[in-house]
Amino acid sequence: MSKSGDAFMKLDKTPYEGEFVGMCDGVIVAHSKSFDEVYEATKKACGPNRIPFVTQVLPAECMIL
Amino acid sequence: MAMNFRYLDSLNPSGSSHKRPCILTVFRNGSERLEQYALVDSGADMSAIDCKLAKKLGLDLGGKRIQSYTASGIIESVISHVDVDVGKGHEHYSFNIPIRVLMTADDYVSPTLLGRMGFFDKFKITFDESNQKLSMKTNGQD
Repeated sequence: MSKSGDAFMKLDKTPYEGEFVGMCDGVIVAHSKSFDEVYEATKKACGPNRIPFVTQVLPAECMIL
Repeated sequence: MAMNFRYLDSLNPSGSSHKRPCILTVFRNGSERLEQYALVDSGADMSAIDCKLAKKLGLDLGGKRIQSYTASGIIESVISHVDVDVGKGHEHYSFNIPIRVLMTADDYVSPTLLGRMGFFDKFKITFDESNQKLSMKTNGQD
């Protein structure tokens, strides 16, 4: 598992509910409701050699059907 | 050998929030890469990704627009292809899979799904709902 995948698994995501979270090497580098903003900021922070991690934190009441 | 994944907590790892069978996945198209948790969805005929993510990956969206029937209604989609990497520990697999790009509205991003066609047929997948674990064992197909 990548550092970001592991960090996201362990993260208390409550403060980011409804947002996208961007990580590089397990460190949050961006979070916002805009995927575009988070992706671009994370890609910039990661540079060409690291893979940007961007995942959505679904709201607590959200059910995927 | 089977790869075992714990379900992903939606919010708080120590709380009582929803847990879902999501696995860490790298989506690749040429030099464009994106890592995220994708929902392993046995109810989805095909994998699906939101058009906003697909555009960042530079996926080919020039195919015929077709209708996809989702739980939230009918939505336009385009079938494209993307490379995916999944793995656990020392086991890693890479595939090129067909994927439906969902043409969602600007203010909504649909969750990324790993569906049956092109993905489930590569593995024997077991959902252990009571223990909230997912197990994937390769069936030997590339």
